Amino acid sequence: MAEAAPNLLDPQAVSEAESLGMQARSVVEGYLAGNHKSPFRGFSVEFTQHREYVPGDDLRHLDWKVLGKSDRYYIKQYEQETNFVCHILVDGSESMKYGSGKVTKLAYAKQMAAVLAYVILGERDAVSLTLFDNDVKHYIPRTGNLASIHNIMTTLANFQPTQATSIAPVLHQIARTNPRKGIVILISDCFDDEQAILDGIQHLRFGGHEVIVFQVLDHNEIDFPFKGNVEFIGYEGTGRQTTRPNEIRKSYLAAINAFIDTIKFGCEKNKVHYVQVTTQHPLHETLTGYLAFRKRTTTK
Amino acid sequence: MSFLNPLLLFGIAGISVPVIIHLLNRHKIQRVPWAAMRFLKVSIENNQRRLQMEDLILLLLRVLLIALIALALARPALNAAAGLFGQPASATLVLIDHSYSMSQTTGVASRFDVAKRAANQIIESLPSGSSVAVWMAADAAQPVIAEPSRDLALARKTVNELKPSDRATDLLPAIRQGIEMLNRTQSASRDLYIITDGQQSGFRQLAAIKQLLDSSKEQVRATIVMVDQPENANLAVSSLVQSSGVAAIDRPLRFSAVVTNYGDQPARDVRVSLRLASSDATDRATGNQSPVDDATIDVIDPGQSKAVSLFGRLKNDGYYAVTASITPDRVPADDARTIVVRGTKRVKVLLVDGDIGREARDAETFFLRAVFAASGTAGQPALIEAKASDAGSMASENLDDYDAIVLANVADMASTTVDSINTFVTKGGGLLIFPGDRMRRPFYNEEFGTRTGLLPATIGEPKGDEKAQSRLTTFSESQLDHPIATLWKDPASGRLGSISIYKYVPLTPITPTDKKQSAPKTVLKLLDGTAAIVEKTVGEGRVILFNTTADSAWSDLPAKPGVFVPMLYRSIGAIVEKRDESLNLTVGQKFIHRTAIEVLGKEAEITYLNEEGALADSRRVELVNGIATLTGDPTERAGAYHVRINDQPPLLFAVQTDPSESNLDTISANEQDQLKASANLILCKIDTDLAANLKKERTGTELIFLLAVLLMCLAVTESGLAMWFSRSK
Repeated sequence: MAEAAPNLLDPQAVSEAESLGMQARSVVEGYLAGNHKSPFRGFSVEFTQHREYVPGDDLRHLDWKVLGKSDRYYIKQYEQETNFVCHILVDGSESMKYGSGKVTKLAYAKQMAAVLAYVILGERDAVSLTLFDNDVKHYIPRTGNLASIHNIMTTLANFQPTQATSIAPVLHQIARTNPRKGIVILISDCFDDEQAILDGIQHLRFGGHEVIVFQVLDHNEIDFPFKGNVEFIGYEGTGRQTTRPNEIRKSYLAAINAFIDTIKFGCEKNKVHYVQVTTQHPLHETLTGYLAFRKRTTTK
Repeated sequence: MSFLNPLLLFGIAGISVPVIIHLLNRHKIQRVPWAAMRFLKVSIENNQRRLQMEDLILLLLRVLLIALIALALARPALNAAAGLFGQPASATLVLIDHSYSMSQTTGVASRFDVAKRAANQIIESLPSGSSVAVWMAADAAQPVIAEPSRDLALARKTVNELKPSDRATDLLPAIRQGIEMLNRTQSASRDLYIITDGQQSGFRQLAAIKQLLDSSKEQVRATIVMVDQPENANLAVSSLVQSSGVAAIDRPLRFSAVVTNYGDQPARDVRVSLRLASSDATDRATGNQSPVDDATIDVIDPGQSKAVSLFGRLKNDGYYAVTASITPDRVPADDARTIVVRGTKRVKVLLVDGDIGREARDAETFFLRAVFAASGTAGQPALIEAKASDAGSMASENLDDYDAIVLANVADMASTTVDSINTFVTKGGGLLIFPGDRMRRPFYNEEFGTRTGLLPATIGEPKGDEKAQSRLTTFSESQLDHPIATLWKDPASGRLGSISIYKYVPLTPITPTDKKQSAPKTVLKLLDGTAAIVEKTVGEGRVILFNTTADSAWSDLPAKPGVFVPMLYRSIGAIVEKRDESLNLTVGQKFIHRTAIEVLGKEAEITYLNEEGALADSRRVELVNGIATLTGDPTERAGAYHVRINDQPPLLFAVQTDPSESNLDTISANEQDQLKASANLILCKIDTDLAANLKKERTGTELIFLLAVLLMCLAVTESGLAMWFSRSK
């Protein structure tokens, strides 16, 4: 499946994403001075605030203009810019195999992960990739080398789902193994225990990570447009159900919307960007929309 | 409840269709891999029970819908007479009462018109494939379409052309014949419709009719359609007789007409007219003759009869139609009554004397001759021309020249003579037999009794002694009901009890073994109740047997002209009248006329005079029992008929209605209830939609409308529920 790797990069998505860049919404710790703010105040490029001079301070940072005007000693403080690490978590469970059109949720997730990784690496930030179902199946450690995009895409392309989902343990694992603050991007349909997912997210947030949740769904899962007698064959060993879906549509929509709302409100509560994505929506629009939103809300 | 199209009930099997569709749909399932099974399961768990219930309800509704459609197509009906294959074709007999009471009219339509309309509606209401016979019924059945025919158009046309007769009603024979005819048909369903006015006389044998209908109930479904015309006022000339004895010409003849009021209101100022028409006046109908006499009856109370005497004079010998009529009312048939009398110039009597005696007054027939000689009025020849003869010379007499023969104390005679007398009586002659000492009783009992059947009573051993001349017995003055004896009901006409009988022969009336022979009637009795004078009808003639002599040897009867003369006159008159009885028939009887052998094989033309120029019948004179006889068809109309046989002088006969038919009273409600137990009884008026009633009767009360409404409601409910159930939940 290695040859499928180039397909994962939607040219339009990549180009549009590149122009917008992947801005760290909150302050992340980095190794290099770059596009992203560092939580460590210092004497870098971006002015932040004044503070009164105390003896011992480097006089290079004394604001001479203020001194000249007000005859007071103030020291200028600057925000430090740094490179961030983005952990991309792609749900590779069996439920992601579903797709009513040409594109399955997993394919969409793979493309999204590839594009994001490409854009992030292109900005000389670091990326790690985790493919999981009920456990971590593939893990590509943090890398800032653009050349490793090929490895990422190959890993993504070659992955085939087989197991049921268990998102929360993966989130907890990421939180534990990455004490340094970064960005965690979860791309999943989130068809798991929503409370456990939110607990995992809360764990990440507690560690200082910025978390972005892309909930990838098929429009059939949201609209439930089926008619007649339909036998639904469940993934992940959930059995079969025969029913007349148009007669239970309202009940189904109520259940799934309640689930989505729980995830959504849980994310908002934890100050997590929640983005609901349908596979029928073009990837470039989805990413452009989100990145534009992110750019508007990110301070630089 | 039964079904008019029961085979369509198999459509109920269609209830399996929704089940089959359901099963087929199970194979038409779209299979979809699904990720969000968790939410689907929740929804299904929340709704599954309700969905199953809704499915069940819809299935039941659809099954019910199909069952109802099948039921509606099978046309269920309450009280319907339908079998497995729906209404079976029926072999139907429509029996229409055509008695003259059916001619009662309201001025717009007669009962018979209503009956014809009812018959047409019955034919119209018959199930397809049915066959129908049309009979008319009065006192006997008259098949018009004898056997059931599938040509219903012909039946309708036949019904439309029917006319009422002047017959009386007795429905039993026609119903019996009709049921027998229907039972001979192969049809599975047999219907008998009796259309009548429900007159009491028609159901005079109600019990027998009921029993007959009950016994054939399984085979023949009977419906009595009673034509309802509540008007029952009716005046009728219920009787007309010539009461002068011999109908002598050029003498005033008394005709006694009886008018009866059958209505429930008194009839006032009833004018009765008498008309005479001779056989020569054949070019004119009797009704057009001018009245020769009339009389007015002041009042006739309901149910009462009043007699009126009218007088007429016959100008010539020959046949006369005498008609008594009243003002026409709503039943025209009984408003006139016609009899035919034969005008007689003189009655020729052959007196056969068995004991001539030494002197004229000793002769056995002395008193008879004296009485008959006195029958002429001043200046006119005697009405009764008597010729005396003896037993020996009687054989040489041409008996056809005489109207009556009197055997007075004749000992015996040759058998050939007895045969001649027998023929003479059968052709309409009269025979009077007086006993006497010379009479050989065994000869009479054998020759006149056993062999020829002329004798009305057996002549027994004489009782009493004539020499004693003492009164042994006398005539009884009670039970004077015989027409010859009614005269003496009035004491002014002389007292029978004044007669002294010294000796007599006991007469024992002979009950005939052959039903064709008429029974003897006792004219007078003795005090001890034994018969004194007995008469019997033989053929067209009459035989009168006395128990005492014609002379004064055994009684003083000849010496009492006040009794003896009218007794003889009335006896001769009864003989002559009997001769004319064959000229006066009741409707339905055949005209039988015995005539001269010369006209054998000749064509006879019988014309009904009440309808101008109407040719009633054309017949050939045939030989019956050695006698040239003209036999007509059963008569249908009352009135005078004219008969012309070859070049012989024309003769008339009259047909009279049965007066019992004039009583228009219908059977009581109680009797109707009795009939209802045996047959379906329908009252039919002029505006009754009988066809619809009968169809409803046959099809019962159809439930199609109810089912249609149910179907509609069910369909709407099913649609509504289906839409409601299939909404997104």
